[in-house]
Amino acid sequence: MDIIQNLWMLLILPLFAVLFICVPSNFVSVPKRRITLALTLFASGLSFLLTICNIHRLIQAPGDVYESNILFLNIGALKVHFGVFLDNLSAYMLLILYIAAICTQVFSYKYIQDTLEKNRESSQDKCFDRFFIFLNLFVFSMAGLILSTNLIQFYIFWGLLGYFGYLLTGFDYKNTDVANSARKSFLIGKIGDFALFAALIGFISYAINDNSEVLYPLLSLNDVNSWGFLAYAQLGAFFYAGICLLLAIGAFVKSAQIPFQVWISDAMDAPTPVNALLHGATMVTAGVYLLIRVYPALILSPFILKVISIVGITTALACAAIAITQNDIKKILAFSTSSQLGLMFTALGCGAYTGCIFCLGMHGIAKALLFLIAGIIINKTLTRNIKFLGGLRAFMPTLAIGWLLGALSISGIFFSGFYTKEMILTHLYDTGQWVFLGLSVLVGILTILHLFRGYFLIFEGHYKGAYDFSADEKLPKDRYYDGINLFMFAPACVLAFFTAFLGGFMAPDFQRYIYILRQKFYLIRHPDLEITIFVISGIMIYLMWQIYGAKSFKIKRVRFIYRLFVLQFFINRAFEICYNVFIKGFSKVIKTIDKYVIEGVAVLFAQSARFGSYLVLRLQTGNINSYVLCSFIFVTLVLLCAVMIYFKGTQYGG
Amino acid sequence: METINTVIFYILSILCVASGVFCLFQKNTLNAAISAMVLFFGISGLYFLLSAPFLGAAQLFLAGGGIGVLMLFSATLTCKEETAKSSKISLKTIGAPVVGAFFAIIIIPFILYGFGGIKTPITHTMQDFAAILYKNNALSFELIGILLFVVITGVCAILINKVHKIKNTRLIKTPGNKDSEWV
Amino acid sequence: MSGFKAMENLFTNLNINLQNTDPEAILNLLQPGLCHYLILGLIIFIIGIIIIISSGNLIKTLIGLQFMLTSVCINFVAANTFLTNENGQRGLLDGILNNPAAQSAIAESFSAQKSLNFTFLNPEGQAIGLIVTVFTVINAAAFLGLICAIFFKCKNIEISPLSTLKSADCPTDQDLENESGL
Repeated sequence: MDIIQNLWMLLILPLFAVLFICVPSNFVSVPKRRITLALTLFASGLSFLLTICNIHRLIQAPGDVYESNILFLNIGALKVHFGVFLDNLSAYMLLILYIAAICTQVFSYKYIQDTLEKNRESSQDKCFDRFFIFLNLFVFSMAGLILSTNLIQFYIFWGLLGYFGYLLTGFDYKNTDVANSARKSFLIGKIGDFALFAALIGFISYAINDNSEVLYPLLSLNDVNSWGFLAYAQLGAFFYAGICLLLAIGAFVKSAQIPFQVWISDAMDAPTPVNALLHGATMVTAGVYLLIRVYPALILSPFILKVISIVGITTALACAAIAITQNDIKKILAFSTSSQLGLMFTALGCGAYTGCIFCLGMHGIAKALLFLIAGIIINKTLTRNIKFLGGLRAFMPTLAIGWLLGALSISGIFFSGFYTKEMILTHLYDTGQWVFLGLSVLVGILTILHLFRGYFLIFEGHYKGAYDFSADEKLPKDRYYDGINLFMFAPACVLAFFTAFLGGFMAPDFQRYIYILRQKFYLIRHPDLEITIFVISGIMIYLMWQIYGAKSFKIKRVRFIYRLFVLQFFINRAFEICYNVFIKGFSKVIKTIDKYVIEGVAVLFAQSARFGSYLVLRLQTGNINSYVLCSFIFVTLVLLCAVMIYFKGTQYGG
Repeated sequence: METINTVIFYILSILCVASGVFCLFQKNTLNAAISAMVLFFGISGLYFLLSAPFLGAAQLFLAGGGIGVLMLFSATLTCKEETAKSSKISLKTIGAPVVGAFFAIIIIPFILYGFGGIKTPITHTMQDFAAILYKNNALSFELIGILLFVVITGVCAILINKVHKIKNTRLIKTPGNKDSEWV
Repeated sequence: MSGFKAMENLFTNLNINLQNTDPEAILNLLQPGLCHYLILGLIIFIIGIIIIISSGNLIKTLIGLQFMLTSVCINFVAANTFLTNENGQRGLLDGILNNPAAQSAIAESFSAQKSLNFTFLNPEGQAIGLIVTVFTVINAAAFLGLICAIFFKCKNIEISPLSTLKSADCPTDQDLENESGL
């Protein structure tokens, strides 16, 4: 099949699935849930196969780019195109997306059913279908984002991403906490939307070349150089940096960097498969993807690159440190995500472009794996607090292996993450940015600390919770492995497999295949760097084992520093205050204006009609004398007019 | 001659207006009817001043002797007690200013125009009047007479029905009635 | 509005009028002319209206009605006296009957009468006044008949109870017969 048709199919398939999920369950004979899952898996599976075909085609001809545009908005000089665009980067991102999506969809089949039963929902089928509809729409918007040809279409799908992310996060909206968290993540995402839109307008205004021609498609992502150079030439360094800063802020908000990271910890109130997909693999990577796409424009302003790296490394350090203090499994993973994304931003800002892309994908898969493992644990033990867990390695050893896989990968010691980390650190070493190198190593250490603290607290020691694991032995072996339902276990296995081997498979030729900038990065191995990091990591793991596993010695908490980290440096509080003062206050003002001014106009019309009718009502007294008076007045007026008309034109009137 | 004219004119006109105002503020219907009669006499006097003697005499016995007496009798027969005003805001307080405004609207041109040239009044003789009545406007005069006759007949027709009913009843004294009344 | 322009003209007129304030002029002004009679008629008309508006029973309404009709009458007679001249021509105000056609028509009607060897002035206003007076009598008679009928039925002639037109206030003949115990 033609590649362009492939790409359009990728966009249409999830919508097709949604259409058929919307058919009510009375029309089907088999249980509706299976049909829903089948439709969703059909859409995602077929998309995955098409992506593999595309990759195959691209491997044969690495430099090819496929683009197809439809003009869908034509207002005078504003022509906005909508299209699909395939190059190596898109194919890679699509691959990651569909791997994560398929695993999440299979996982959520069982997870959502259990959640709905636990909450004793009244219309479980409808809620289940609702979840899968949103899931499909989310995959659609992410695919559209990846495949978008220009920045305006990108922005449209960015908005859709935020919206469907909100709907997915707030799936259990009847719980007030969940609804508030979903709203919070959406509103903070709006800040990023606004920044991105402002940057968009800025770039559109200057996408006019010397001959006063506008370049179409507007802000094409295929050819970023053209409008980037134009804008830089017309704006000068300072204002160009300003616009790029707005772009960067949009990316920061979406990827939960400081100071916008407050939403991701509250978004952990969402169902765990949603967390795996959104906050592991897809939504938070949209910010990084944006910066990667417009990288040729960002290069023109070295100040911006520096800002990106500084924000990235700050986030990485801060969030990794915060993650050490958390007691909720999902919050550890949330801050870990934020920290790793910060590392990716650092890599991007320092020039390790390819390393950033590679890290994006591998981290996504590993983080999804960790989230799914957390989901299995939560589903079984019904608690999110690691203080009530422990010793799960005895009951579910496969989960322990999975977590170790993920942790080692993210920390960059073994498996896929090792290759990505090596790429980034090598680049930093080569370009001589020692500060960033040192701080990245420190981030790596902190990552090990929080991930392995999690491991040792969850899987080692004695089980402190209430769940009776001996009941698991009675479950049938063909549907349950290790006491875990196959629907939940299989995706975790798949992701573990990919975590372990995908990186190694891709790494040797990765730079050749990504090859966007047509600059060659040469691969030099620095064994001394790697061995140093390896040794340090080993020491750290041992340290964690001693503290949390074997409980050899306890660390005393310094209360103030602990609070500082736990409360996320009070950034959360600052956002709360801003929300209460500005947004709520503003809405009160608007409410008053609406009630008294705008409604007042309508009320004025209504009341004046009422008043008029009241006046006429008062005339109907039932008193004959008043009727005489009124008729007298009326006749007088008529006669007056008649007399005036009669005398018009004569000397007595006129 | 002229000054006497003027004086008599003013006396009569003030009499008319005063009787009108007096009638306005009367609560008793009988007093109102009597002041209406005074008005008719005053107007009759004015007719004599305007050299319309026939009309003056006709006014005396038609209006004074006919209408006035009729009103007197009706007032005596029908109004037993003083009419009490039930409305708190009497219509006078609203009506009188409105009507006064009408009056003012009409009067202003008079004041501003000036009262026009003083025209000498023409003296008409009775012969002129008779000629008018029997030659030019004879038809209208006859018609008004017929109309009068018709109206009187009609009123009698209306009332005879009621009178028959009253005649057909007997005057009885039932226990519990305060005084004998037509039942 | 055209009246306002007239008002402006009249203000200048007023100044001219008020400029001669010698006693003769004032005495002249006080002599009864047409306008005085018209104003008198107006006042009596107004009084009649107010009596009607503020009357509590029907007879007082009738009295007010008499006032109004009397004022009409006096207007006609005064107009007749002051607005005809020796030639029998009548005119309302200066210059209204300017068109020669109307004047020639009037002159013709009088010339027809002149052939009778008897010229007379034109007291038509008095005839109209007589007719109006008779009409007043007719009015009063009819009105009084109705008052009597209402009185026989409803036993009172006050306006406020009657204006509600409730059947309890004005019983029908059947009710009267039932009441009377015949």
